[in-house]
Amino acid sequence: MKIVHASASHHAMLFAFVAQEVVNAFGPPGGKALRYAVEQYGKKRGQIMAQNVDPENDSANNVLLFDLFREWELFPGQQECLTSKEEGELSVTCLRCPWRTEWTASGMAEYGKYFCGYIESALFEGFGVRDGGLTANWLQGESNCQFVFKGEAYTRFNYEKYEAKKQLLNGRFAVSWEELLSFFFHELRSVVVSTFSNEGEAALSRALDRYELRFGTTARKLLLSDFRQFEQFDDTLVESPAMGTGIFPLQEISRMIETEILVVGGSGAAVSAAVVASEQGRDVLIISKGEIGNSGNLLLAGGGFSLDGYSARHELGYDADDSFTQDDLFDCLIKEGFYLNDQDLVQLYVEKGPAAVKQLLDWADRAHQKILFLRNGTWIASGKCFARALVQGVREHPSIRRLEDCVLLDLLTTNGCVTGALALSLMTGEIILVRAKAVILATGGFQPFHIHNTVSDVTGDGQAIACRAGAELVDMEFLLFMPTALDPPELRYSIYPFVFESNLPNLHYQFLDRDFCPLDIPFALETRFRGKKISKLVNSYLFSQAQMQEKTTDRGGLYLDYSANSFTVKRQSLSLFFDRFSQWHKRGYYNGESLDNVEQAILNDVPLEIIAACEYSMGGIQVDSMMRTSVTGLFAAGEVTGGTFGACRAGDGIVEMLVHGITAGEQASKYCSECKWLGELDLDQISELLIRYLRFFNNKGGISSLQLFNDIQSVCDEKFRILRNETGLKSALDQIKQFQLHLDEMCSLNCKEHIYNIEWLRALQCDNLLLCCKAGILAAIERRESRGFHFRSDFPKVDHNNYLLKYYSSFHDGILTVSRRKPRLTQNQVRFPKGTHASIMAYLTDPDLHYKR
Amino acid sequence: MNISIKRTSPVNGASKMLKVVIDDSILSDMTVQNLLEYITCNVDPSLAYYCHSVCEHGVCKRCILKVNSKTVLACTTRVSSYSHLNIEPADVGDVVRDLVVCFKK
Ligand SMILES: Cc1cc2nc3c(=O)[nH]c(=O)nc-3n(C[C@H](O)[C@H](O)[C@H](O)COP(=O)(O)OP(=O)(O)OC[C@H]3O[C@@H](n4cnc5c(N)ncnc54)[C@H](O)[C@@H]3O)c2cc1C
Ligand code: FES
Repeated sequence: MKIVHASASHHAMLFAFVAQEVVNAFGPPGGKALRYAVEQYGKKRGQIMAQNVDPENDSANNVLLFDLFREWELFPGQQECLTSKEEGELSVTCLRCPWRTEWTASGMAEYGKYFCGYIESALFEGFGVRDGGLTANWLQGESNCQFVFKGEAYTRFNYEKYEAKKQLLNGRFAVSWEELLSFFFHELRSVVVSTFSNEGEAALSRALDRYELRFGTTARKLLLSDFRQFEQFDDTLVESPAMGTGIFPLQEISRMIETEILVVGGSGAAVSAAVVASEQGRDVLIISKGEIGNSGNLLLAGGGFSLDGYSARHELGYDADDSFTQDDLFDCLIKEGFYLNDQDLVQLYVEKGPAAVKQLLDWADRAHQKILFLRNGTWIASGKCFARALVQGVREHPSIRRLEDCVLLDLLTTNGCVTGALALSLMTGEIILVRAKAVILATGGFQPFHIHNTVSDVTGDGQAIACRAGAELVDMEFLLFMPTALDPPELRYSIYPFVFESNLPNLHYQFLDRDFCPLDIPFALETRFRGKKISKLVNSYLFSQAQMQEKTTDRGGLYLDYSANSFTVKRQSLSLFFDRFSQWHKRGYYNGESLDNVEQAILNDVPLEIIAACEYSMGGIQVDSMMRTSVTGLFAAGEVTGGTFGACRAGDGIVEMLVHGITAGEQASKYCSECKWLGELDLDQISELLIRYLRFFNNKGGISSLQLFNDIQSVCDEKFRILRNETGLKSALDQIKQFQLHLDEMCSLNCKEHIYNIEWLRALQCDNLLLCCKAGILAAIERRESRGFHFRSDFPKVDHNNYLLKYYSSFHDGILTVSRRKPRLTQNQVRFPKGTHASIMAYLTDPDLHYKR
Repeated sequence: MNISIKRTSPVNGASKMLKVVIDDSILSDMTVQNLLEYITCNVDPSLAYYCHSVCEHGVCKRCILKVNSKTVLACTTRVSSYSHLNIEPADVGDVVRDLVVCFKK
């Protein structure tokens, strides 16, 4: 691995920083010293270049030779010149050069006057070019710099000879910028320190701090190291305390870490990505809000995951029923996704699933975790068990660096490319600057409701951060719900009702309304979809119908009634359940909660109140099948993305996270191998972001972020949850906009400390959640039909004629805008249907769907 | 119910007790984790307890703390089983702030 830490831009900025500090400190004598140092440097480099020229050379050194033996290489596009080759005269007009570009962009052009003009003369002198030089200098008011050379050397014959030789040498004499910079700094330093002693040293050290903040710690270290030992300098990227510049607000950055690939998240998508990238030799840093392998929704996974039976049998060697193939799975996912899936992502999911699952099973095996396999191609265990497998994966790759309890705040970009990120370490209160070539976001889903079964604070950080950095969000109106407990109180928001449904096939149940009367459910729905992937949708549909008919309980729930079963069947079923699940949970428990009261209620025919609660977000960051976002260098993986499952997830979040993670890891590694640079930082952008985070400490309004967070959830519970309509959605949007104003201007913190400040964290999360809510609600308003998990009471029809389209959100100048496009197709595409269906259920039960499950 | 919570400053390590009285009717269905959330929302927003990226179902064990000298998980411990609550950080590592502890690994 070779990482390049310097370029002509570094050279330009190093000089500008040094010049500014020296001139500020010492006035005109400082300028004189700089000029002298530049001349010394130029002469020496010119002489070094001249040593490469063949002593037998027939003519005196001229500028054509100078160019052949030039030590420095520029990127394509960094320099642009107009050359006129006349008999006896060569003239070159420089339209663009990196020094001018950098100085102008950073408002430091005035320091160029100590460099331009002197450097060229010195280089030519050192090399032995005596027949011309700089004739116009942009710093002296000319539009461009111009060089003119006159003499016998400039003939057509020589021009051609020079071109031919140039092809042959092909930059052979180029010296690395690291070496040139270190030499340059050495020269500057020896002059400045010998002239101004300790004060000179202090000025240089200030300049270095600024250089480091802009280009990183390694770049600074390289300046100070002996360039003759570069060969031994390994490419380990470093972590260091950021050199406080004393400039507000940059001084708020406590630490700087450099890495090739930054992976954000601590669960399946993140670990899979980090492992692949590390195996490909990349330097990888993971930062995770929670503990790695002990956070994220994976911890709560209840049902396991599956592959098509054919792959389970023939690729993984399990005793599976192979009648269901990859093609069948592809077809199902699209039809059950209501045709909104990006079909290339479905193809990736189906084809890469087996290998991805195998890796997880291998880790689980080595971590001594028990996983149960069922013949239909399903693996069952507990979320904790899958999470332990991830921990094993990370453990086997000790070179992956890790930062836990650390929250990604924003991405840094320069000219549309990712250059790093800012993060907050919760336990130390430090703001950390990470420089990276590529970033992989794997921060999981978003859900804005009180009524949920996910882990805490699923605040859509990754989605909002990507969107602010220029990426698009897609399908944000689609959130998945499933039956979740309200009763008994100790199991509130547990998914045991769903787990029972899929693991106790012999136990019949029915839903009762608020008056304990059975819901009127067509038999087809009750039997056909039970225990199937699509049952969450069917059940949510029933909840939405009950809500429309005002049959739900005061808490928005229904009752689950098992009384149709005999006592013996109930007892046996529960006992079988406890047997199976005691492999992963304490007997009689589901996760950390006792099922005693549930068992008693079921045995005694007491109905249990349940609700449809949010589990998963189909929407997220728009990616292609290489997990690339629309921002260069930014990748996303897992639930944070959108597009794989369309309007309804009929596959598994776990398989998705693994497949995406591996793909993102591979593609980000590939990207890094093509991109040698750690990108340059945009300090203005960093300052703006810091001011944004710190605004809450200065705001005066008195609105609490904790209250605001609750208010957002309440509005979404009421108007954006399972049953939606135009009036409700529009009023929710107005309220969300209002909350954003409150957050920006009036949200203030009682606690002023940075260490584990819950109010501050919530305020930062509200910013993200509000953006996700806005994207979701805007799309939900536009989608005037029902589809998948988007139930509209005012538009119950599934309308293929007008809405086989996906809604995208993007963020420009603080405004979120929505656009729409067709889903992406693949070669063996499933073709789009036409027409309408009276309801979501009419769509699902239509025999013309040729539904294979 | 009388509730006291041990608070520790991250700056100088000094400790003090936060004393709160909350009506039993509000507490009836709460876990200790719910109670701490209630207190930060309604009484003292500067209180720190471990609440980010947690499972709320007794799986991640990050909400560990001491109630009446016994180490428990805040998310699965129900307030109704106590007559008073004395909440302190668990002895599993260094106290970062109030009830938040940096786990020893
Ligand atoms: C109750 C429940 C049951 C489920 N059951 C199943 C099942 O049986 N089978 C199945 O296939 N799927 C299931 N799912 C879905 C599945 O768990 C998720 O789709 C999957 O875990 C997503 O993986 P992920 O890596 O993308 O995100 P997650 O597992 O959600 O992890 C997100 C990670 O990102 C970190 N993070 C978040 N924000 C930040 C930030 N700002 N900075 C740094 N880090 C951050 C978090 O700490 C966490 O480590 C279930 C989900 C729930 C809620
Ligand atoms: S919050 Fe996870 S165990 Fe309590």
